[in-house]
This record gives sequence, structure tokens and C-alpha cells, in this order.
Amino acid sequence: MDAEKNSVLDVAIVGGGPAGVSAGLELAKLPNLKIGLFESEPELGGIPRSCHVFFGMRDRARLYTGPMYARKLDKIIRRTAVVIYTKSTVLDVEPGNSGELHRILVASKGGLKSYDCRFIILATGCFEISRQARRIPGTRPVGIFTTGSLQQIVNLSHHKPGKKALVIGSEIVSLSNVLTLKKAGIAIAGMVEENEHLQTYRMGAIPESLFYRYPIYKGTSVKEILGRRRVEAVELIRKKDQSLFQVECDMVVFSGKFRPDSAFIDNTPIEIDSSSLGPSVDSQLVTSVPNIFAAGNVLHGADMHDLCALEGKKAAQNIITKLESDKPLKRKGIFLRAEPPIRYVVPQWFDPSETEVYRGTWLHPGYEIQVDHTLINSVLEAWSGNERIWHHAFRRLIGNYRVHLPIWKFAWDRADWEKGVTIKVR
Amino acid sequence: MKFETDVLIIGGGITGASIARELSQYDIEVTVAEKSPDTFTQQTKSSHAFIYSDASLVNAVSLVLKSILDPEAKLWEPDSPKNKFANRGHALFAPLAERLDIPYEPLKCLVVARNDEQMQGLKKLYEITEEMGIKNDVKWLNPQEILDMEPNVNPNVQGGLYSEKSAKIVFPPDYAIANIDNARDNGVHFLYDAEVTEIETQDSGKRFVSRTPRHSITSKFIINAAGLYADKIADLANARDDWDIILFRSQMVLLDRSIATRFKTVNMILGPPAPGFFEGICLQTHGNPYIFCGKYNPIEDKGATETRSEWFKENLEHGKGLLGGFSEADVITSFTGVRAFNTRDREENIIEFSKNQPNFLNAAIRLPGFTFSAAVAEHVAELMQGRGVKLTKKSDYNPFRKGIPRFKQLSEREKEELIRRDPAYGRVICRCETVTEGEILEAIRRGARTIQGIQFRTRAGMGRCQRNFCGPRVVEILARELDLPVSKISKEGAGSEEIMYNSVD
Repeated sequence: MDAEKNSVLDVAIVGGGPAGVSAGLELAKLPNLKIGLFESEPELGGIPRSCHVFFGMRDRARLYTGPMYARKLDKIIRRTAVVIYTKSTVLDVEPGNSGELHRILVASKGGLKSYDCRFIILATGCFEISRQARRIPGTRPVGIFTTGSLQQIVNLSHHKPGKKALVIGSEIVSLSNVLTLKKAGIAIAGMVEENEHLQTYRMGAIPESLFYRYPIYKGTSVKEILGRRRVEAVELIRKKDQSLFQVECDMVVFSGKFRPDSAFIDNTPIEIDSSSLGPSVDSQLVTSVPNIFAAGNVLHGADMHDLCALEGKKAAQNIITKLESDKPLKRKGIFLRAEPPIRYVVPQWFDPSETEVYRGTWLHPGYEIQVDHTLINSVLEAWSGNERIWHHAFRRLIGNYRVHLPIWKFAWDRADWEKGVTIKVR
Repeated sequence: MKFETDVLIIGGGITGASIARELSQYDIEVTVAEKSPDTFTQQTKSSHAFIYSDASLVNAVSLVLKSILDPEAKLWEPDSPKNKFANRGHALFAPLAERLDIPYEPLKCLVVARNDEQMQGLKKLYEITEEMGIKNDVKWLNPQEILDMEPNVNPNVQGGLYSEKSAKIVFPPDYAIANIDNARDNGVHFLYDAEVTEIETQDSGKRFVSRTPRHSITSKFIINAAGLYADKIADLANARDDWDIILFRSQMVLLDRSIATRFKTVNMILGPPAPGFFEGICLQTHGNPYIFCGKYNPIEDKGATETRSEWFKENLEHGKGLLGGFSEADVITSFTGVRAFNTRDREENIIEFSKNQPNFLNAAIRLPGFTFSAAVAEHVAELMQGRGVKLTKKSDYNPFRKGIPRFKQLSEREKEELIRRDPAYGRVICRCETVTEGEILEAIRRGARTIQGIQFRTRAGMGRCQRNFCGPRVVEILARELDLPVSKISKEGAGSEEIMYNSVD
């Protein structure tokens, strides 16, 4: 571009949420590294900026509110040598040929700049899919939100979008949703869960519903949204007896069902996993392109912020160990795939020689799955070809919630590298 | 507010907008009254926006669909008025698109048959194209040739037809807005939120006074381009002769742009139509594939555009049957479109002065309205001249219009240049579609006042996350630029404000 030479970075971090900032903090421990962190929003912190309580437990060993946690991340990263670019959007990632530098293209009001980078960490997070993508039929009025957009409006812009809301979904985010609605002074018309079981711990959901006095409709799904211009009511259908009933409200908030935000790498050779819809990575968090890493919810929509932070840190540590080496870090291992109702397994690749590294690491980022909906008395199994290499019975597998896979317990000696491993539910 | 004008066009959809643009080159006063706060809401926004000549594979498909009405009828009548309009509209389109900066692509259409019954349909289609005399365009393909052309198409194909000439595709808002921008540049007044509820005839039909909730418009002529509501508007002036409007609807399902990679050569794959039944998957100009299928389902209620779960299923099944390689997770949105036909002759348009009301011109256009639009506009001007209106060209007429720059599609050098000129183009607001604040501000400068107005002009919020991130931000930009509280910013007019209360309320 022009006469100006491209800037060179050792590491470019795309996304300034918990994963990206934590990666930056870890890398900044080394002197003389040129690190750039690119964030689209005006502030760092990512989704926690517009969230509620219970932040920072596993990564910062303290309890924060979402906004406090975000400010804390912002404050400490700005004390380091990491160069922060806010209101800067990464438009494109162009992987270099083997051994060459990768190039990223960044737009901001200051202009269009490109950076040549040795390593890249993708940490762009995720979003909740829209009402239409959930294939909810009916009219298309206003008043339909996702938790993400609702929290932006209420917690960042301080507006009140309606008077009475129906919450669709009963995951942890749905509970956070209720808090947001209450904060804005919006009444809750009820919570709707299509499965017979809540998608979160009962000890969280039930007291909340009693405290705020709203009904929980389990085993019920949305038949149709009504209202031409603004939502007027939602018609629900109870699965058991196929009975129909209407709930009046002027807002519908959909929660859960996350999808990684990876639109900007759509046209790159970075491989996207067909079940997680995010980049597919190995235990080192390397994508299919050497020296390009991914961490946080761009891998798995969605997991808790603190695990994302630890994942960011892990990607950074892996980069640090490879800084001296000239060899580009390539993805390796045996492929793990998820079979529905398992939504994904992340990372997707495992190198059995690393089994010992993972022994007993329950709380740290390791291998994990999420199931589509809460399952009662089910058995998780890992199969390679015709060999079952692991199984475990669960009394309650909570839907859309991280389940740690004790990968060190798998009988890797019986696994077939060609066939890979399939994680199933029985 | 009182207005006087020579010609009042009622309806700002593709037909009204094209007529306005056509008349704007002459020295007469033209006003457009649109009931919505922004242009086009109904048929125009949910159209396929195909532009095809009379003798084309796409038209042959639509002729087979028609045979549901009368199985014995002769399908191909080269001299029918409709075919003449299609031919003329198609011929006018490319140079117009050049002048008005409308992005378009050739519609490369593949029709595939997957079983014996469909092979019969395909043969029938081929016969029609032979009759049309377009052998040089329409090729008969064997299964291997089809799979070479489109490796991801259903492997059970038995035969197919392929055509790459004689048809084009645009993104509907691009075309409609280009017409409106150009008409406005040349002096046409556009009144929004201006639903005509009353028309008074004066001077024994020489003058009309049309009333909307906010305006009173005196005009010598009225052109009724109200689309779905053409019957209601004609009735207000007692100008509906021997026709009625009937409506049909069908649902379309839009897929994520990552599915675009499934298409290799063509941008539309159809099944052979049966009388009254169609199925297809098409790649839009801006990169989103969409599925359409079903019958035209008759309805009474003009606003009944709800989606249905059975239509979701049906669309996905047919889409997978044609192309495959995608799942429910690739659906990003869906909508139901309503199409209007007239009862006098469902196959034809009504473009004529009313017998009852000599200065009231009805333009009740059926699909493909985008194909017809430029030709209809030209014909309307001729009819006006026939009524003794002197149409003299303006000396300062500007036939050109420039679209809003699409940051995403520019080269790196152009992007850089644009940001240097206006830094707002460096701030990405919609991440999925890479739409910048500069584009949104330009859309507002050109008259966008609603969330949809921004969406249609810039595509902000039309991508994968469907406004999850940029939705609230677009509302705030609109509020800031229009100097209104956010609680006054609506999706598509009063009653559809996304945020009911401001923080200060």
C-alpha cells in the first residue's frame, strides 16, 4: 500500500474480549515483543461490558460484575507494552505461504492499514442466532431481541425497549436476561423452554422465577409470533397435549444458541468446523493454518468468559514456547468429531502423546463438549471405528453448558488415526 | 400541507419509482405519494428482481407455471402485450443500470430434472424454448455435463437445460432506490408517510384533490402505481373499471453467504416447473443464496406476510433436493412475499386511463415487475402524450446517478482513498456485511429515515447475525443524525419503534 511500508508485528490479536486481552497480558510478560490488539468496539472487555455478576472467578480469582471485569481487563492491559487499537476492525486475514508472515488488513477512521504478523490469535467471540435463523414462524414485527442486543440497549445505551417480555430459552444466559429486563423495569411474561428440563441448574432458575414471579413453561415451544408492527402476543404450544395458548407481551427475547463470529475469515483457507461453525483447532489451539491460533468463544459459542480468558492465555503460552523456533507451528493429532445432539467438541484435534499433560485438569481449558439440550440418565461415549475407547454415565447433562471431556482417560492405544474419534450420546 | 402538481404518482414501489424517473426528464411537475416512511415496502422488497426478455428460458418457466389456469392454452404468444413489455424492459435495463450505477449480474439459469416425471416437464420446457427460437442460448445437458458445470447439484440428475443470456438479476432495493434517487435529483417531490385516503374529483375530472393524513395534493393527473393496493386507490376516485386485485403469497428462505461457494458456474438452479408449482435456489447479487418453492397461495389479507413452519420445511427440502450441502443452521432469515395479479387477465398488466375517470391512469403490474418497469414507464409517458400532455425535455436533465459506495467491494486502494476523504468510512458498523458508518451516513443524507431504509440502502444488518451487533448502533446513528430521540426511530413507520422508551423517559 502506497509508499508506506507495512508494519510488522510479532503477534496480532483480533478481538479485545476476555480471550484476546488475556492472551495479550501473557505475551506482554516477554520483553521486546511487538504485539497489536485490534478491537472493533470503542472499549475493550467484550461481552462482559454489558453483562451482570459472577465474573473473574477462574481467571482473576476474584468476583467482579461484568462491567467491572471489563474495566479491569482494560486497565491492566493498557499498562503493558501491547499496542491497543480500538474502533479498528480486521477486514481480512491473508495467510502467508509456508514460513512467510501472515497479513491482516485493518480499517479505522485513521485509515486502512495492513500488518505483517508472525502469529495471529483469533478471539472474536460469538453471537446468538436470530429469531429467523431459529425458524420461528409468524409475523416480523419489532420487539424481538437476543440477549446480546437487549443487553447492549439496556446496559450500554440505557434505553428501555418495551414493557413486558417473554424470554425464550432457560440457559444461564436466559437467567442473565431476566436480570437485564428487571433492571430496565420491564415485566417478565414468562420463560419458555422447549425441552422438558431446564437448560441450567435448577438451583439457579427456580429461585429466580419465584423471586421475580414469572411462570416457566417447560416442554413448550413457540408456535407463532403475533403482531404486525410490534409484538402483541406469542402463541405457544405445549408438547405433551398439543394444547395452544397465547401469552401477551410486547417483547420477545431469544437467548442461547450461539454461533462463533467468524465472518471475516469466511474467505480464507482457515478451516471451519462443521459442527462448532468456528475454526477447527488442535490441543495447542492452532488452526489449519500454521501460526494462526484461535481462542475463546470464536471456537465454541458460548462458554464462560473465564475459560475463554484461560484459553487466550494458553494460546499465548504456546506462542511463547515457539517464538525461538523457525518451524511454523502446524496443527496435528487425531480428529474428534461430534455427533448430534452433541453440538461440538473443541478442540477438534488431539495428539495422544500429550495425554499426560491433561491428566486431572478439570478446571482448565482442555477438551469439552456441549449438548444441544439437557439429557437425563445418558451415557457419553467415544468411538474410534468399532472400538469404544471411553464412556461415562451422566445423571444430568445440562444443555448448552460446557462438559469437560477427561481426554486422559480415553484408551488411545485402541484409537484408529485414520478413522478419528466420534463422541456420541447413548 | 397543500401541494399543487401536474402529475401525482401514488405508490413508490418499482413501478411508481420507474414512472417518476421517466417523467422527471420532462418539464412537468411530478409528485410521488408513498404510504410508508421510506420507499417500497411490499412487492418490491420481496421480489426476485429478475429481468428477462420475452424469449428466454426464465420466461418459458413462468409460462409453464401459468398453464395451471388453462392446460389447453397456447403458452407462447410472442405478440402478447406482456411479452412485448418484457422484451422492451429487458432491452432498456442494461443501459439504464449503467447510467444509474445499479449492480447486476447475468442470470445463469440451470433447470434440472431428477426423475422421469420431471424429465417430461423438462422436455416441455425445451419445446417452448424451441418455439421461442432461442436455441443458441438454451443448451440441453446430460447428467455428466450438469455435474461438470455444477458439481454440488443433486447427483441424481437425469437431464438439464442451461441458459446464460437473456436474463439478469439485481438486488431489488438497489434498482428501486436508484430510480428514486435519480428522479429526486431531477426535481420529483417524494412525500412519505403519505397514505392517500381520499380523492376528490373536481372540474368534471380535470382536477383531483388527493388527501393524506398530512397533505392535500391538487393534481391534473393521477397515476395509480399502488401495487397491492391498486384496487383501493382506484376505488377512491371511482376509477376501477372491470378489474380486481387478487393476491398470492409464498415464502422464501435466505441462507448464509458461506453457502454461495456451493455454486460454481450458475446463479440459479430450478426444478422443471409443473403447472402452478415451482422450486429453485438462487444466488443473490450481493452473495446470499435463497430458496423459493411452493405454489402461489391465494390470500385475502394484503398484510398477511407471516412465515410458517411448514413452508420453512418445504423450502429447505426443495433447496436440499436441488443443491444440498447445507443445513438448518445455515438459514439466516425468511420472509413471505405477496404478489398481485388483476382478475381481468391474470397474465396481463393494466396500463390504461380509466374509462370512468379520463385523467386517472391505472398501472396495475403483475410479476415480473422489475422486468416490465422501464418499459411500463416509457409507455406511461406515451399515454400521457396521447392525452395531450406536452412532454418537453428539461434542459438540465441529469440521466446519471451514483450509488452509495460499497466499501466492502472496493479495492484496497479505493478503500484507503475513501477513508482519507471521509474517515467515517473507516468505522465498520455491521461486521457481517462490512458496512461502514460512512455508508450509513450517506444513506441518511439520501433520505433513509428508518431501520429498513438503512438496511436496504447499505445492507447493514442483513448478514449472518441479523442486527444482533449493529442493530442498536444503527438506531443510535439514525437518532443522532435526524436529531430525534431513539424512541422515535422505527423499523418501518409509526408503531414499529424498536426502542419504546428513552433513558430520560
